[in-house]
Amino acid sequence: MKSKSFKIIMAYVTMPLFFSLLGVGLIILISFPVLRTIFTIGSVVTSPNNNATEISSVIYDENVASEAEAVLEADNIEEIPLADVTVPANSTQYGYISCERIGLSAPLYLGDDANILRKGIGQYLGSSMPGFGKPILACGHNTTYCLPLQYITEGDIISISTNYGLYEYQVSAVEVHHMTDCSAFDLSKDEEQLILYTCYPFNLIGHKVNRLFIYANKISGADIIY
Amino acid sequence: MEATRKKKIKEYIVPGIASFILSILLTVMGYLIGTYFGLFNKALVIDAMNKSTYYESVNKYCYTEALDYLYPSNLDESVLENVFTIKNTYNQGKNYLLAVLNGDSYNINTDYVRDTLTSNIEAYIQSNNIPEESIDRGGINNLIDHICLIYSKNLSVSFLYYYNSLKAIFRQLIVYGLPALALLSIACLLVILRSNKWLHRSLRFVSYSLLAATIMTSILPLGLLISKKYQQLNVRPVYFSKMLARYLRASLNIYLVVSLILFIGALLIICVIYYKKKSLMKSM
Amino acid sequence: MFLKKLGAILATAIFSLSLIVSVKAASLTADEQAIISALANNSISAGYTTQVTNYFLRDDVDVSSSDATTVINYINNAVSVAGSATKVSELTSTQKSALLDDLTAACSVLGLSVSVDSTSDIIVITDSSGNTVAVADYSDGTLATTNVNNYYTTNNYNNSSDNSGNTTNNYTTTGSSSSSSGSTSQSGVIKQTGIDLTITYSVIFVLVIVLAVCSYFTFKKDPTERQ
Repeated sequence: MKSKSFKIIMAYVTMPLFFSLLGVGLIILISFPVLRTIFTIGSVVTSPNNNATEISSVIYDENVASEAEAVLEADNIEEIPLADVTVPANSTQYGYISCERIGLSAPLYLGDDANILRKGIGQYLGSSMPGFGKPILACGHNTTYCLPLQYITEGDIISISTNYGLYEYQVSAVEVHHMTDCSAFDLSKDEEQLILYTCYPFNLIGHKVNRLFIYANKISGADIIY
Repeated sequence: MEATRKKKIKEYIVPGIASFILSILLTVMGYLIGTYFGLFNKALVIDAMNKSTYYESVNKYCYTEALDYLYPSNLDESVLENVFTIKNTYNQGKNYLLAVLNGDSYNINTDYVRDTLTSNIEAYIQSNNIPEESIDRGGINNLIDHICLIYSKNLSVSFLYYYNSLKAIFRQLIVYGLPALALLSIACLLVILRSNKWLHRSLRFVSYSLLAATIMTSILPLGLLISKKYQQLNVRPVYFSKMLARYLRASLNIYLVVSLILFIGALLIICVIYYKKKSLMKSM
Repeated sequence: MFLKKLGAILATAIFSLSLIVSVKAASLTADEQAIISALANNSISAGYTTQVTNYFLRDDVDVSSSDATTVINYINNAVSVAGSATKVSELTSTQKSALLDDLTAACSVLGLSVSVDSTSDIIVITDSSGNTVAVADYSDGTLATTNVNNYYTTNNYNNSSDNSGNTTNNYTTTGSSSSSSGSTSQSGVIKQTGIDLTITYSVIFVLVIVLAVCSYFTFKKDPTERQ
């Protein structure tokens, strides 16, 4: 009698659990098409890290850069292996860009979002770094770091100092293009060219639809072998 | 032998299967009702917006974005003073939210932003004695338009578009699916109740269904609530992510309420079983 | 003599070890190059391809052969899904959903996650530390061009004016569709999303059949049963 009562009571536990096990499988099967979409969207919109805020960092070291420049010049090194180059993550200052004649001097970051442009000149993520033999597209605000660009002319030398050496580019053209003009640059070229741009004109108050593009060809700096 | 086998099928196997099907039906109904009163409950969306500092964050975000437009325009941060106010943002945001949740359209009114920005820019030009040749009036109008657009875009909650589309589909499910599920559940109940001579034995199977449905309706929401997966939303901006997380948590709690109702139902049935059996034993 | 030999062996081991460590970041591996080539061959814009290249050039990134094969399969699948479309706006919702699947899966293989910026209609791909690896515009970006036309900074200027009409229009449409919802438009939505409900209908059908059989057994009058 007692064992029968015990069995009846246990049935209130085992039967629902058994039904649940089978039931969950069946419900997943029934709702699989919808669940699949939910999981796809879910995996896109969830992540253990909340990546909405990014903290910037600095790998550029003036002393290391000077040392690298000295060594490369002394030994007349024209090529350096990729292993000697630290490719930075986004929002990292990896260099320093300057043009002595016009007084341009700004930290150079990888990435060109709004946070970076408040701190320096930003290199577009989809362009290459100095030494990699491909176009370098960088921009800055015309009222802050890129203000001196209003004085730049053809023939000026722009320098980019990095931890793996100094790179110099000679300005070959200064042009004004509309901000939507696709022909202003070509990132698929196999030629190292620094393309610096900023809003134009400089002293006008109001939203600007034009951009001042400075095209500068590489004249010195070691090539990265990769 | 044959009679015993038939009896076993009728008294145990048939109600067992019907009970299992009933548990599935109750679970699906539970999720549908939970979704209707949870995920697609307007009050939860409004509550999440109110309690998650949403409007303050929108203001702050608009201010930062507008500042990035100001930098290249040779204008000072001071022109943004009083442009984005909590009062205006809250009113516009709430009106927009209520209208869209009701299925109506609403264009965010940016007149206040526009007027304040215009007067601030004029004041800046006057106070700094900026000559007319250094002013691009068209450019200033463009700038004001852009900033108004930022404001309107940040206040227009993009997920509401998908919310309303999904709600429309879901309404169809409720209208056709819920009655069908209810009918099938009644059919299952009838099968279970007719399968046994004694009512208390039939009701046992009903209680198994209710208990199984309780487990199945609570397992997913509990899992999400405990693992806090709903907080790991990676949608930008952060304030939007926080609002969504709050809304999802409230929605998940509704499923637990449904699960609790099913559990209470099961307990009631178990009480009825106990008293029925007792009265039967007495009468015997 | 023995110590000298031991010293030589140790030096060789250390030197070899450093070689092993440095070989990892010496160049783009064949697998990484294969992924880059797969993108370039499918005319994906140079801006996006370079973003991938820059990620692979990092010291802490290494791609195995199997991962590379999987990623290339996803790339090829995504390209076939996109078909002749060259702009995001030309894609149907089914195509967008499938492309998102492929993008998420491919990124997952490489240890990357995809996040969505709802205010600026940009997809941001980040690594495990939360650093942005690549940025893609899904509002009206081009999928495959030889020139990039939406670099991040000016993108904010371009897209805001493009989206002004879209934002309002979407909500207007939503408002009108909710108030005049009919079964035709809603079933059309399910068809458009491309959800295949065959399995669902089959399982429901089987359950109903089982219930019907149970009902038959329950309500069938058994002549041997005493009244």
